[in-house]
Amino acid sequence: MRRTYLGEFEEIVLLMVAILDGEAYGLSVSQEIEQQTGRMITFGAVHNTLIRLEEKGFVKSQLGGATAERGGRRKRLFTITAHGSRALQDVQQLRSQLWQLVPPSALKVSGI
Amino acid sequence: MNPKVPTPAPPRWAQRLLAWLHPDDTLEEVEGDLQELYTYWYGRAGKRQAALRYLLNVLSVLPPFVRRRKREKDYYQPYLLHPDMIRNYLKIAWRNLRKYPATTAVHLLGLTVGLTTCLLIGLFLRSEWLYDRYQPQGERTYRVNLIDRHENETEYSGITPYPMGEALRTDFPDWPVVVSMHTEGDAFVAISPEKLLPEKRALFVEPQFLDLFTVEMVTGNARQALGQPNQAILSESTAKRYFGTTDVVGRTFHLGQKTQLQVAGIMRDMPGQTNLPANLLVSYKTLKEYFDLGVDQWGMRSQGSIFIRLPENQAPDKYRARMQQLVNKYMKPDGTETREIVLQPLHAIHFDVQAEGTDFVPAVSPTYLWTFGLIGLFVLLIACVNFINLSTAHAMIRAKEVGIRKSIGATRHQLMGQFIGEAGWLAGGAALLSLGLMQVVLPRLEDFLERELDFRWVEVAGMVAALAVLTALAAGLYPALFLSRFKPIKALSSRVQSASSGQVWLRQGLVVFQFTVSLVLAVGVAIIYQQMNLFREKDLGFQREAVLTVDVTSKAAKRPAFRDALLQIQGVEAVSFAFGAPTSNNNFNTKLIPNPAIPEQWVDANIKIADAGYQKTFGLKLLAGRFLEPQDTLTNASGMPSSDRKYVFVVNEAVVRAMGYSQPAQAIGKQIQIGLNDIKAEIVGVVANFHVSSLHEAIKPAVIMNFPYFYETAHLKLRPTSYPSTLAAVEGVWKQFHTNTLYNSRFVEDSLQELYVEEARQFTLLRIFAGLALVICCLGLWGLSTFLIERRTKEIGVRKVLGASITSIVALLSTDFVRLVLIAFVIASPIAWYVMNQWLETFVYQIDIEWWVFALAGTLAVGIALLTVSFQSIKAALMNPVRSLRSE
Repeated sequence: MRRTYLGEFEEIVLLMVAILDGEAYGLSVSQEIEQQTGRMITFGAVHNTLIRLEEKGFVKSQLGGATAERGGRRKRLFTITAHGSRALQDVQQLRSQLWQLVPPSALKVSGI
Repeated sequence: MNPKVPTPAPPRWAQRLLAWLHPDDTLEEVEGDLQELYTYWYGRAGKRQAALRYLLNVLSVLPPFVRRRKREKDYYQPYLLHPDMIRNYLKIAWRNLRKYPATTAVHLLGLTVGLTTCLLIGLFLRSEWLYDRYQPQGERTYRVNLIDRHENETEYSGITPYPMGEALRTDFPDWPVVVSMHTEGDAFVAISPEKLLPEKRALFVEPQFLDLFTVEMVTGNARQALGQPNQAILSESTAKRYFGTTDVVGRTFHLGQKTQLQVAGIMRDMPGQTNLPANLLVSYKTLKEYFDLGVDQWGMRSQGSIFIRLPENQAPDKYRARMQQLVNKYMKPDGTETREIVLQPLHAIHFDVQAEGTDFVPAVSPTYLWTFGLIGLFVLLIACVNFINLSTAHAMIRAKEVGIRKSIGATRHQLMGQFIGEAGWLAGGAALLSLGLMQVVLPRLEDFLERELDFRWVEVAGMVAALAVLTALAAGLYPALFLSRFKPIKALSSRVQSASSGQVWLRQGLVVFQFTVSLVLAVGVAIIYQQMNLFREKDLGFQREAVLTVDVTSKAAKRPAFRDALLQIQGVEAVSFAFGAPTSNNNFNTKLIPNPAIPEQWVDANIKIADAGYQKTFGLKLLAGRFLEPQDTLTNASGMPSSDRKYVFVVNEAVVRAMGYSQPAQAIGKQIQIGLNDIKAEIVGVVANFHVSSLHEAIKPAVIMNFPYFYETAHLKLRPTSYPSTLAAVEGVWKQFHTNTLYNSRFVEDSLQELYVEEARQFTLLRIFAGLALVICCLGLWGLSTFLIERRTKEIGVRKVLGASITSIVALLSTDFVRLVLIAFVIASPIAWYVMNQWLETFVYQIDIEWWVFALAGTLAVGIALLTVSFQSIKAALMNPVRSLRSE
């Protein structure tokens, strides 16, 4: 199977799109990341990553949901595609496989 | 939402910044998101925090940080520089060029001429720059120069006294090489008693010369030969010229009348780019035999120079104090004069017109080089402007093409590629043509400049290619940007588009620029022409017409007989033996002490050595006293000048003024002293002022004295009868009195013109450039008018139907162009005036710049412009309106 590379930040953004489930757009994703991970990120970083994910085919987008508080401008709402959710699952699967391989002694918190 | 609480708004300028720079595709959603973000922070942390965060996040979505959404591609788009596309650009460009042959020809012609001019000038400048650059370690080689300062005058000279070489060798043992040399620029060689040849490039050098200057030997040992007296090394071409073969080692010949030389070796011809391109090198030890005039005196400076090499990494300034010591020790000047030795870098010599030197090649002034470089660039620019103007004028036709291309999917970059491709074709074609043209022009240019240019195919081809690319960009970039910007909908709409005002401005501005350059050049030509006329016609204070100069070397004792024989000839009116004509390059300059009691006070003066016939031959005007008489000559018939003998002086008015008198008669009978052997003598006569050197300089005090030892020339005033028979008779008489010497004669008028060779050359070059510039301008104007008038065919038809006369239509069509030329005239006049004024400043005697010169140039330019435009405008005006108004 051809693996598509998913960067760490891309993975987080993609997860957020999945979490937000239909309500994901630039600002909501960025605020969600801040709340969930405590990372300070610029809006531009999220914006660029979303565009990149769309180019890779992990998410798709449509315009909609204009509200008054954003001056009547539409949002670009992102939803995860089948390819995207496959990619996320692949990553998780690979991680758990790798976790299996780690000898338990190697990860002891500290030497006794 | 509560309508009473307004949504907080982020700073307006930040919003604008976002709208301006953020990609259009994603602007809406990003604006919305950021607005929400602002509101969120406004509620949480207040206005300041919110504004700060807003700004930060706006920055994060501006270029170069922001990522652009790729547009969805629903058609196949080939890569911009795909070979197929490049082939397509070139093919379309080619078709377009063929479609408008007249325009293409104008472009090609203009660009070829522009490129060739630029290239030739580039080649010339490069050649000049290369002078002596090939000498090994040339940056450590210096010429020893002297600077003499007296009152307001400063004299720079690369000519040094002969004993200085030895003195430098002794006093500066740390200098690795010191070479004395003597240049002989006007000699003759005698291969056999029958075969005498002029030799203008003989160089006497010490063997150390070979350490500083490259000499490639074919046969013989140069160092050995130059160490011994009476040895010479010939260049290959010189050997052929002398003996007809290069296999001549061991053969002998004479340099001048008495010095016998043996050929000790053959060297390759020196390259064109050296200041000392010697035909033959003679060992320095021969000099004393050849030229015995004060070779061991510190006071004597004739044609000797010294070149040295400094130790590594040493600046010439370091030696200043020690060099001053040397001056004080051997050649301390007296009175108020100061003297200084400076070291001039070898590579600077060629560009130093201030210092007189011993070089065979005259120096060129950097200003002159800069001027020509600039003119070359301007000619090329004018050609580029033609391209820009015609391309933008054609834009209306091309607009449809651009519209269709864009609507079937061409990107802007591809269109730009196409338009630059067209310029590239033209520039490439022009480059090839100019390479061909250069082959034709280059030999002529070399003859004309009397220089050999350094021409190497690889470098020239590189230069051509670089210039062609530059030209293609300069000419093609603006049309490409401009044409590719058209919006397809507008371009394809059937409404006729009129040129935007900005574009018209640009086009008109460029035409004005072209004509400004041409006009400046034209005015320059007119003014130089007038100044050249002044050289020819200015009253120099003596008669220059029909005076023949003949070199004499015969013994003083034979001269009366020689003179009598000359006077026997029918066509000879008067004869005078002298050291050069009144105005000559061959001058004795020395100091003149108006009052021998106060030797500290002196002025610079020119000594004219002449006999009693001088006045009659040259028609000098006697103001007081008497001129020299034959018996004055007899009293000092031979030998070097000495202060013991009795002399008399005839002086010019300038001397009278220097003595402080107002009337010439007051000077008669007074004693003055001159620097030549400190001779003191009485003034017996005063003549009207005459020029002693070129009009670059003011009239100097001049003293005429007789001194047969120095008579090097005979001047013959000819009667206006048949010159050829007189000239033949003079030569016949001359040959009776001279053996083993070359007969050399020329008219004084011609010699006078030689003083202005450089100006004559500048004049010719400028004339050519001005002509070229004007021609290219007119080509452009012709193309432009053809096109613009064609577009107004319908308008003209309507006007004619409504009763306009042909004259009024021609006037209507021509006015626009004439106006531009007039504006150019207004801009060009002050520029030309300023530049030419600067040029005229180099002459003490100059013409006044008169208003009619400008009027003439302006009228000429307007006339030529009118003529160019009238071809088209008259054609258009005569056209039958039925044709032009017929619907397609």
